[in-house]
Amino acid sequence: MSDKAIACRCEDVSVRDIEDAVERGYRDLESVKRYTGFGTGVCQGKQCVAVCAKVIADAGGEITAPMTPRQPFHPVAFHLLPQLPRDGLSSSVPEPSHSPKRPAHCTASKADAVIVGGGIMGMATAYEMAQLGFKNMIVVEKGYLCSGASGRNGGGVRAQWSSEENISLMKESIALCRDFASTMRINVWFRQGGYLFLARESAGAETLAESVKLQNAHGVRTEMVSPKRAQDIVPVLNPSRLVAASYNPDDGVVFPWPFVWGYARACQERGVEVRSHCEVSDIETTAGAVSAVLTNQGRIETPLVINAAGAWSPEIAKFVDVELPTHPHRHEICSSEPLKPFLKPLVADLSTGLYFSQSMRGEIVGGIANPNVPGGINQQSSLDFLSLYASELTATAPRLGGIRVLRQWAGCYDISPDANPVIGPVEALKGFILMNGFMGHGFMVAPKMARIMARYLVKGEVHPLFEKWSLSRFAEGRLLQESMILG
Amino acid sequence: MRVDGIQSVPTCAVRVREGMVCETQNVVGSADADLLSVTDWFFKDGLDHHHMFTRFGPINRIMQKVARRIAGVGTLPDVIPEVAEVAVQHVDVVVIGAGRSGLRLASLVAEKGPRVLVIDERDGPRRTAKRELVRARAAGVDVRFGLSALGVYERSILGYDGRRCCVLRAKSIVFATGTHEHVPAIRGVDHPGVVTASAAERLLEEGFSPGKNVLVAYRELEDARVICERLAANKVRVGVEAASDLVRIRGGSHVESVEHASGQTTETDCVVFAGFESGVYELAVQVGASTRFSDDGFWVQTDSVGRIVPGPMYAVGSCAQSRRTATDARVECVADSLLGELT
Repeated sequence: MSDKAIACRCEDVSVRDIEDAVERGYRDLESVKRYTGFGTGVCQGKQCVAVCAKVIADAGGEITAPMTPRQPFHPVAFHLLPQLPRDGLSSSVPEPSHSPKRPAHCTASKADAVIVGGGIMGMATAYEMAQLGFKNMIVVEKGYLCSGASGRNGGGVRAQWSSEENISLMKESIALCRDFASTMRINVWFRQGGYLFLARESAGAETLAESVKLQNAHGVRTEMVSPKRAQDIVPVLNPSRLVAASYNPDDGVVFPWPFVWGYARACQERGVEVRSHCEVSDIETTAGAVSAVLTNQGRIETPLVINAAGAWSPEIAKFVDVELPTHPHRHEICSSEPLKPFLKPLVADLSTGLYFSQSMRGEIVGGIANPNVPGGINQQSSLDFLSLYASELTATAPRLGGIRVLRQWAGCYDISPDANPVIGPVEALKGFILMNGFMGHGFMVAPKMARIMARYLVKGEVHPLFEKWSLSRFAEGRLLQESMILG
Repeated sequence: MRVDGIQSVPTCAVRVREGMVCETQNVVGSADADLLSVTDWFFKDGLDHHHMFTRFGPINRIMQKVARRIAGVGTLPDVIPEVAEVAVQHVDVVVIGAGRSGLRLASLVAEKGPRVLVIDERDGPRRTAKRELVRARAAGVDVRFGLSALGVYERSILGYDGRRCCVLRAKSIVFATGTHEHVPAIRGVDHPGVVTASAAERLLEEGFSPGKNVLVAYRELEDARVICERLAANKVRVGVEAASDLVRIRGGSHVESVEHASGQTTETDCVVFAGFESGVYELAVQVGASTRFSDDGFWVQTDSVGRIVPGPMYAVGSCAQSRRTATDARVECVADSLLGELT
């Protein structure tokens, strides 16, 4: 009980909290939900969505639709789900059709750079460019901030990879994550509980051990551990399913949303314009160079376009007749009721693509690979996922069968044919820069990748990765490898 | 609270049973001496969890450790549960919601032949739908209470009866999901003794009175009529007022008084909010329905015959229209269209 005007009882969100969010520029319902946390508790917004919508509208925000409903309607325990039929059925929640009106200050029609995609990659790049003194940039995001994969991922950050590029990049990203809260002045709830990769047969253990050697060579303190030791680290594990595991205590998890907001706010403080609900409809070129970006909020003249559109990147590249080899792949994930902390690391199994960790709020957040998903951009939730995830989760950690799932959702990976990114300029078109193909780990690589890209675009420093991860490698047949992809 | 081992249960909506085990979770102090309210005192402008303690790295890390300790209200269950079986059932039409509109629609359709299953998450029929229930069962409709729809995936419904899941495969789905009621966000609205009109009605149905001196606060006067009659019939003292006149609810472990915009206070031990509702849109939206925001609520959009998307998917009753405007004529029109589409 309190004397506050409570709007959401599950998460203790008051009218004042909502008004504060609207004042900070979170003007649509999905953004305010994420910023304040209303509707994310046990009732999932059933009791508060209309109340909060009214408060948002009264405070000057805009209400076009309620938040996307997530299954299940009531929490349900994982052990009731493995036997669900797996026949490819998904929900068909409509994508939001109309976007809120723009505040009047978004009027610029000229920019030195336009960054397409307000996810972590685009936002971090804009921030790093601004840090180096680059001015007059616009970030365009077709939805609300965090509406794409940057707001839908599990927040894992790890240095356990099988290629030296990824190991060294992620190592630096982890360091950036550690200081993010104090440098960017926003809590991202970074927690270094480690990553525990499980191997269920000797072949898998050998692959892990090889990667561990490479990681050690790069100063990452990963070690191979026995099933017994794995169970000491994660007591809920079923040891009979393991032959070995690899463990790096320095890996961790963050809460993805404030990461994006932190960059966005820092961008705005440095004069970068961030336009949400701004969708690109075409890109104009003149004499072999990019000249303007057309959007639903008008035309922006610019000599430089950075494609950081995640799973939507191939669509953006098509506007300038660049064929990207990447394609979207739906990845599903879910979150449980909040529990007292009992799980230290993120647990992952490369053979099934299962992973789960415990968030700062106490929820078990996890997902699993599913090759049988509809093609193209698709962010719908399926029965198959509940069945697949629950069945692997309860086999790997049987006691988790008794906890209940609160919500399931989906996002899209930007899949690259050789599991490695596609970055840098493209031949034959000046001013079009790629930051694509980051699979499911764009979030964790972004802090470091953005620095590399900013130094290239602002200072002209060419990092060796531009050669290695170039678009032309596909035409030249120089394909790369990465075996530690989850999902 | 934890009820019979299931955690985070909003117990205000759970019927008490002999032998039920109820335990508190994450409580510091009691209802009268809520020690967590200290945080409200320390953080008078609200706890800004995004930006608090971000000035210095080391202090931030300590804060995060503390936050993790107090996070999470549940605990990991001790027992390892068995993986449960899932039954799959095929029917022609599933109606979600056994209120008046849902049951009436089910009767009209079943009387023409199709196999109709009505599911409802409540454990028994509503007072206002008892006659429709008799008619539906007479028409051969299978009506199952205590079975909730957890999600809709194309034409398959994930059902849950509190013990197991099932999958219901239908040719046609009708959403008769009714409304969520809520209380407006005014100060002190989280005091025990603040309830919605349907919660008060349900208490009366179960033989309890929500209070001795009840104030009914309405959105529109018409919203207050039914609950006032019901309360009066149960010999409860009732006051009636527009909710927009209230600025604050005062009390300790229970409501004691309300404060008006004029500064006056009125003593009361229970505030019933009437007319604050929003359509249950969640399930219909999962098959593609869109919504509209009006009268401070979200409502499922239908065409003139109740269809929500191309194909035999319909919404009837108050989830689409609000309780006061839902009409019987509309249900007949939906039934005709649905029957036409099934044959």
